[in-house]
Amino acid sequence: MDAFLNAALAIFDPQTFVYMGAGVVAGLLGGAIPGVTITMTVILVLPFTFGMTPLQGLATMIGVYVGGESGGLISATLLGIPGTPSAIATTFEGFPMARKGEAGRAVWLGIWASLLGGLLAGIPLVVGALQLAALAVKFGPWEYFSLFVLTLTIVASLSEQSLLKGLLSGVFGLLVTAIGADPLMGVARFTFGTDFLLSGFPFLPVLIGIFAFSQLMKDVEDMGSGTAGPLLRRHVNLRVSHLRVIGEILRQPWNLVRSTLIGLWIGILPAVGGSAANIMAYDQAKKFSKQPEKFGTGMSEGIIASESSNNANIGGSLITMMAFGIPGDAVTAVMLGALIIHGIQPGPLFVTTHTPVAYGMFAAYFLAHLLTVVVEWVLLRYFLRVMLVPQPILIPIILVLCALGSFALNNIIENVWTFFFFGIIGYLMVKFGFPLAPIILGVVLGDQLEVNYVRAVMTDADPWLFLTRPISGALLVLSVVSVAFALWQRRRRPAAPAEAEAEM
Amino acid sequence: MKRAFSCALAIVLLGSLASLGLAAYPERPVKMIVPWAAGGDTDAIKRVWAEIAKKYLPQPIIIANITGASGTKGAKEAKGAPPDGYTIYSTHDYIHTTYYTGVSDVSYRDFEPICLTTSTPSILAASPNSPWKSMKDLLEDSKKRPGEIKVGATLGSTSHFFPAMIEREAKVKWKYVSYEGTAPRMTALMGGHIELGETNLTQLDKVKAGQMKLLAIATDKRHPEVPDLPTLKELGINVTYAVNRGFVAPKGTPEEALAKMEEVCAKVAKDPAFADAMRKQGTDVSFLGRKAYRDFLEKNDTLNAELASALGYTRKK
Amino acid sequence: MHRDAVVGGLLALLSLFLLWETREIPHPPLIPIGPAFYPRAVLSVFLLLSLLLLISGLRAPLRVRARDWSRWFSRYRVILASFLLFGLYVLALPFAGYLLSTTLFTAAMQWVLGRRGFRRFPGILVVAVGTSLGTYVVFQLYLHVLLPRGALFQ
Repeated sequence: MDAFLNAALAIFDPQTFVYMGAGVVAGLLGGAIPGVTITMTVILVLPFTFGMTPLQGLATMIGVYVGGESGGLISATLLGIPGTPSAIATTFEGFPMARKGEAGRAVWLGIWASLLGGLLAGIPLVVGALQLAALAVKFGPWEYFSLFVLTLTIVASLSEQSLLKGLLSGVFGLLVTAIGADPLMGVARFTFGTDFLLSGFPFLPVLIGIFAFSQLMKDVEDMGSGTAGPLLRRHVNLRVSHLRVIGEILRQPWNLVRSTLIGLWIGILPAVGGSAANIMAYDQAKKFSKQPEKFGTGMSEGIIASESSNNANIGGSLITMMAFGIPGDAVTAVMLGALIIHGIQPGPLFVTTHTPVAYGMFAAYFLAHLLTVVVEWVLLRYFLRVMLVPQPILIPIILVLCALGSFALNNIIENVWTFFFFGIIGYLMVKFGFPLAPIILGVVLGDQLEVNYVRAVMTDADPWLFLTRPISGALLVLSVVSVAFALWQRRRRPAAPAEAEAEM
Repeated sequence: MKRAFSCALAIVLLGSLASLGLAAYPERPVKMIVPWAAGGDTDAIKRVWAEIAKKYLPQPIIIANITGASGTKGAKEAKGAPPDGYTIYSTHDYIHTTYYTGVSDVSYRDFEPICLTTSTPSILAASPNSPWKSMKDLLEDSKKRPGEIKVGATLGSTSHFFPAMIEREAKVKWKYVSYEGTAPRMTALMGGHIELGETNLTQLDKVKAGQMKLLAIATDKRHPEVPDLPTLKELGINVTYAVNRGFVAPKGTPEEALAKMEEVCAKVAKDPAFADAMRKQGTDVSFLGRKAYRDFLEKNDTLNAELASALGYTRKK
Repeated sequence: MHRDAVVGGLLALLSLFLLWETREIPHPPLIPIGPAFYPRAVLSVFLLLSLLLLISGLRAPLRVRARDWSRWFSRYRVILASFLLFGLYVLALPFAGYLLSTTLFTAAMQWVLGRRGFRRFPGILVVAVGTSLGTYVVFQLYLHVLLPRGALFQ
């Protein structure tokens, strides 16, 4: 407890506090601007964190993350366009409510639900990350190897598209890490005699390309077709009685707790982000509601479910990231990259060896939620203007910033080529129906998978240890089960493998 | 309209030209390639160095951590960098060891020496779970179970050479497992996944926290920071070992730039703030200028070549 | 035949090619498993999965649809132009330097994305110059990123 209080005090260091506040504002803006995702915002903030201390950098990123989840709801309710994929379900109820003249109620229901869901999920974050990390210290190379295998199969089997394409995407990510000097002895692989490929593809430019570039190109594609709908421009009355709104949320305790738990669980599952959490929570809220027929007309239950779940999702993602060094989603993948840049080895010992940073991150998580509400209280009306920046201006600027972010990693131009190249790959993958989360996980885990396999064999030549060591064996069995379950589930609702051919 | 455009273009062009200037070296920031991650010992030492060098150099020195493959990715990047004085490369003895174990093709001969900055004595550390209380216990146990005690090391680098030298001198046999970099090696040591590993005084706080035990230090005499820790020599194992860190620049870097950096090096080495920071890192400041550093590298290279072949590695072309 | 079959087939060919490439990876001393092992294992799984995709694509209902290339082109014209422009931008960076290439890129990109016409010219220019100068100040001067200066100016 003492350690936690000390960490909380470290966060109140004025400089850290200012950085975090800036992170929250950036997150709110990025989340609110349609076409800019939270991942993209974290990517844009990344180069600024290089010069900070590790805790400052991570606190800033957590600020972006938390702010972003809230920012998404502003455009979802006021414009009817989800500012981020994790606010999709919020539009279903928030926008109708705002159109009925209750814009203030709609927005603040979302903001307060985000806060409550986020804070609730903070408790399992602190307890869970510490417990899991304590367990994970016992992990040897065998357990790591099996854990990574399990992670990859879970992500592939959860992908909304086909299991096969999910697996292919993940294995492709592993393949990317095989390019360049091998992680143990520096032997060149698949370099075709070029120096360019020798250093391999650094993970952050790959991630920035796959997520940001491909998303921007999707934005470009939608630019012509997407009419923004009946926009609520000026003259929006955002005044509302906060006590009444909070009361309204607290009168639905089950909805709040259920949605928080859904968000938390989806967050803990590796590389499945808030975009799945909010829709799942919304569906469940509808199922349990006494008036499911009224959903779609501006029901508070829907807003609360969606917004509390996407903030709880942050808590879950951070648990996975801090306890195992495995990204809970794309945003935490960027955070892992930031940790490595600061020389902190992510993994089960992160919490024990870098206790101040870890506890500081917990404190930052709570503080970011409070800051978000404060910032929104003050700046809400100004966000409306920024949300309407035309995309032809926004997209070139973001592209330049992404290129800069890739370049700034270690000041070499090859990183920008990597960003560009994986932008093309990411876009093609989206067009051909391959999920993006598994490839990122593959790129993050590839080297670790290989190194731990070799380490295991170097430590003890017996290959059966992967199965006979209890934890390792159990993890491998679970990964077979996850694939089998995905296959069985798809068999039950067949068809749809070849339908909906995207025009290409 | 046209004027607006040409105005804007002029501004942009001027901006690009402004950074050109005509002043003496260095007229823009200098990039320092560190081939290991931030937070490692080399990074920690060189970050302090760069901070103090600001006093003596009109331009900042910017650290680029280019990591991977036992530090050889950064070495290759440095070798290929333009020799204009704006890239310097922070290296240490691994440049010899990785060359002679065949991990890397980059040799110290691909660079112009600038200066030696520091030297950090090596220590043999054991996992807190291990049964040994002293070096003697370890050696007895090693004789009982040859080839079974697990040593974590960056293969082909200094952390591999150091235990291998002890192995040879003490006539024991250990088993090596790849854990690259000091930080992951210390983590594995704490978790008990390896039993031995090379460390140095920068990790002293982990000893105090009971996360590892120190067995012996590879200095000539006992180190004032750890007066209770015996040297390998007094235990009858004739091994002294330290990691010697310095700067080199790509071959062909102009004389003016080399001289300037050497001068900065000399000034930093005399700066009490640097000495103070290095004491905390368990590192000795040891400055050698260009000429002396060249000789040092040459001698060190021959030594490492001998060591490598004695340890059973032959460099294949 | 579904287009998955084509994708699966291409990926299978790619993995076969890369598998062939692994034969030249040497096995250094010191480690029990050589650096060729991991790519081979991964590629084998990749090959297997691509073949499964190929088969499932072949078994999907046959769909013959005349491709209308002019429609396809009009739909993806902007995307192609964006990718091309960005490629040119990265090519230009080392030669023209950061400021000049960024200004040109942001201006051209806005044009490609539909901000055109003479009247918008000053606006485009303001955004372009603003972006390049603004990021230059923040990244080069504040964050000390060593932005490319451009071989042209040396």
